[in-house]
Amino acid sequence: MGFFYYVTRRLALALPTLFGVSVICFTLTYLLPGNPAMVKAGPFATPEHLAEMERQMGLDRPWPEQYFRYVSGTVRGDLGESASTGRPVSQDFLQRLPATLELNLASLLIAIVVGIPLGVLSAVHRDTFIDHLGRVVGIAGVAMPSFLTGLLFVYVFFYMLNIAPSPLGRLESGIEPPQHVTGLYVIDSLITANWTTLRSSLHQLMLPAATLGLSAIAPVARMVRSTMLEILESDYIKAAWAAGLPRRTVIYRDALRNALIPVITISGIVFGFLMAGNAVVESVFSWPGIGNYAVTALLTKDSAPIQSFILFVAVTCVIVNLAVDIAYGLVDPRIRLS
Amino acid sequence: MSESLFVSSSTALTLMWQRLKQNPLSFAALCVIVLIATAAIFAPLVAPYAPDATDATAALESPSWRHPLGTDEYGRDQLSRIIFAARVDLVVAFAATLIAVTIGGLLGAILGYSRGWADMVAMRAVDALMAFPAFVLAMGITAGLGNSTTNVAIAISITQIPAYLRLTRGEMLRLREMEYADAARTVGNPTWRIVLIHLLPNCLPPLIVQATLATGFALLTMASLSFIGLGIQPPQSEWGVMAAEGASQIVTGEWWLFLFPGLAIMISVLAFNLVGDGLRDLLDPRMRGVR
Amino acid sequence: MTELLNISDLTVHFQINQGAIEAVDHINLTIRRGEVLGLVGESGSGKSVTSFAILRLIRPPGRVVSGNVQFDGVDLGSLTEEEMRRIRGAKIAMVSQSPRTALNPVLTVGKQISRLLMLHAGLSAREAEKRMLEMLRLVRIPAPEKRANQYPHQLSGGMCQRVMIAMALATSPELLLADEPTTGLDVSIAAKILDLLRELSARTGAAIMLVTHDLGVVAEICDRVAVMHAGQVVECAPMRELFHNPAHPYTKALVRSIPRVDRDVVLEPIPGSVPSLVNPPPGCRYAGRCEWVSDRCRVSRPPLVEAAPGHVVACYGFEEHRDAN
Repeated sequence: MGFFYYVTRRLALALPTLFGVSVICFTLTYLLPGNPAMVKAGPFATPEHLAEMERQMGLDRPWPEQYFRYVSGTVRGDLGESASTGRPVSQDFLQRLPATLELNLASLLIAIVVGIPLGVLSAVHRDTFIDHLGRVVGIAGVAMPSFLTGLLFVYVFFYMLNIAPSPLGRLESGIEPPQHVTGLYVIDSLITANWTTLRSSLHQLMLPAATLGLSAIAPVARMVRSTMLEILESDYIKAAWAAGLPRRTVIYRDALRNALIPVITISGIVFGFLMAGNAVVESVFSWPGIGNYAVTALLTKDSAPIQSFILFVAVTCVIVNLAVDIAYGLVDPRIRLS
Repeated sequence: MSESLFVSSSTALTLMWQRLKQNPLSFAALCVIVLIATAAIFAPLVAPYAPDATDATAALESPSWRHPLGTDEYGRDQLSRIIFAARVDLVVAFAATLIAVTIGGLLGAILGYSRGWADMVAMRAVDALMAFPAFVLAMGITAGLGNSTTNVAIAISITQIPAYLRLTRGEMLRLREMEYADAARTVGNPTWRIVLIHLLPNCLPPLIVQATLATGFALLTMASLSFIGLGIQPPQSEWGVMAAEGASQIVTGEWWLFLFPGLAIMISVLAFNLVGDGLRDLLDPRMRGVR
Repeated sequence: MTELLNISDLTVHFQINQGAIEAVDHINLTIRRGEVLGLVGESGSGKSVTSFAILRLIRPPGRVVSGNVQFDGVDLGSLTEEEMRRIRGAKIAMVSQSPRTALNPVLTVGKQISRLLMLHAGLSAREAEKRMLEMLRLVRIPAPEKRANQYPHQLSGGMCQRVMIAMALATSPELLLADEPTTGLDVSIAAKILDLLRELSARTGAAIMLVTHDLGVVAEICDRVAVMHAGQVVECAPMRELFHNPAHPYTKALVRSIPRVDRDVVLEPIPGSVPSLVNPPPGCRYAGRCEWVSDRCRVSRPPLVEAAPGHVVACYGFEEHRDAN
């Protein structure tokens, strides 16, 4: 009952945000260059033809009506047409989404696997060398533009050491993509036991994932550190020490388990971080995901893909935050059972 | 703390400055910012060459005494370009922050003080704006407004307004209940006076911290925008643009072309973050007094 | 009764920017087997620090500067960290103040008790579960099977404190350090908790060091009382002796401040406050608040001397004012 109420309330809170997001994206559509009617009518259309096209597309209707059309179109999956590929944006999107997903998940994994232990170590060894080092690395990591990280990686590992492949896409040239199951090459090639492809896809994924992951390590570590510090000072940790529990149990079971609850929250923020960073990282590594798609569209002033990308990112962020809050409720007995 | 700030917010600022001087890392970072800003202002005097002076005989030279940071494919001196680029980068970052602080701070103060339905609506709008990762929103707005330095500044400031708005509003909600706010009301001050003269100055210290950190973030956003080809366009010297130009030379090994502009961004952002962190440590009551 | 715990010359400092806080200053204290010793003082007098120091759980910026703690004939200072850990929770257990926050919020209360049994008594999961339920029954938690599967936030404060006590006593410790076990509880529940503590200690033979600021609590259950002021033990006596013949002016003031039904007195607060413990001046730390103060008190610290058999006091003026009340 309590948990159901919690989920319902949280869902209700997300609705106004989604409404706001749709209004902002709709407004951006009007700001974005390129009259959709002009795109559809072609460059040699007469003014009459153009006006006719605008009427057909409803561009002469009042704003609220256009907004309604926009929302209902979006909900039905109609994101418009890309002027440069000539295909529906939704189709292009679906094709590129797995690449982005693969990159972001790998980066999230790196951020968590490195960030959490780093945060714990900094908190446990507060004000020692480890803590200071962690802080410096963290601050530097946040200040470092991800394209610089990416370019440095490419220069060092591809150009100098030649242990990374050239930064062009998800597979080396000549290697066939695996049979489509999830669209994530690493997983698909693993499922189908296609070792050559697995090797190549991991090889290609390595640098972009490290680049994107590196930018998210610092916020994760920082959050873990501050929560851990707070928890290590709490009464129940003092009680745990006094009860003679071994150090490992106190730190990694009692304290970390409590610290992970707020860390779940930050994974929503980290996801936003990764979504924001992937446009840049994908373009550095020519990674064929939606970020790269949007960047290419920016350069050719192709508005539908840009607008869809922005909408997609915002909606995903809202949904991820929602999911995170619900997960939080599942993990924390104080919310689950109250 | 608030009471003492109320007496004079300039005292608080002096205090902040004195404390900052005691934190060597933050103080060093502040010096770096001042140094970069000075170099930018006096760029024609400081830079060894003109930023757009081409020299076909000196194309793609690696760093040397003549060209400390090397030259690009047109023989332009990288150091000079980086110094001139600092002008664009710092001006846009400062302008964006200033616009955002002013609008966000004022709106937040008014909404927090008046509360009511306008506040409700505005907060939902803030939620919606904050649902977008800042960089993605800035991308959309810049693409919409068109590529120009002013538009980049506007786009970045729009992404930052919600943070200031929330901050000031939260402070205002607290401050309006304070005794001296009552005192100011009972002696018949008009509302605008209470908000602007009596209460808003108390929000300044956290706003300054936020603004310092945000200036660094603005720099990062702008550089990333121009790196992917939005906003500031070549041949204008800007750090992100220069790094993007350098990126195309990477496969032939001209590392100095992407590295130095990238480092310029990183060092500036780092400096702003360190100053902001230092200021925050001074202001966070939980950090103070502990040990 | 034989000695169980002997603290001698214990000093604990906390390093801060302005210098060292001398939180516990050269204290001597003895706890005998099976007795209930009350450690009384205002907040900031070093009572809780003392119990953490016994368990060797003082962490930076705190530091044990001097002293020696003998438990059951063993010098706790000489043990390795691992040996010390085996004593914590097993032979010396602690009941913390604020029961609601001293239980881990993400573990069920049953699990929190049974894991200690598995750790310290080497029980299997099933045995530990059985023993855990026995303990919950012992501390009179109704429907223990149901409660065991609940989380701390689902229990009341009094219930949490019972769980804490069950947890502390589960491993049959010889010494229980109870740090303000009744703060934040209703008066009636507090009384029940105290009854429970006394009854269980009598049954298991565990000694209790009861840290409190409340002389009323002391009167309920203690055999002997040590009074702390500003990090120093100023007086130590059997409970009745202390209440009837307090020797130290601070104790007298504390006793006077207990509200009583049989006597119609105006409550008088103790003048002044605990002096700053950062680089305190030499001499008696009560001198600044004391009505009997003399020049000698300000320059040298009065030693603990015997006022009556089993009754020690640290005051230069007590002889002179023996009969004043």
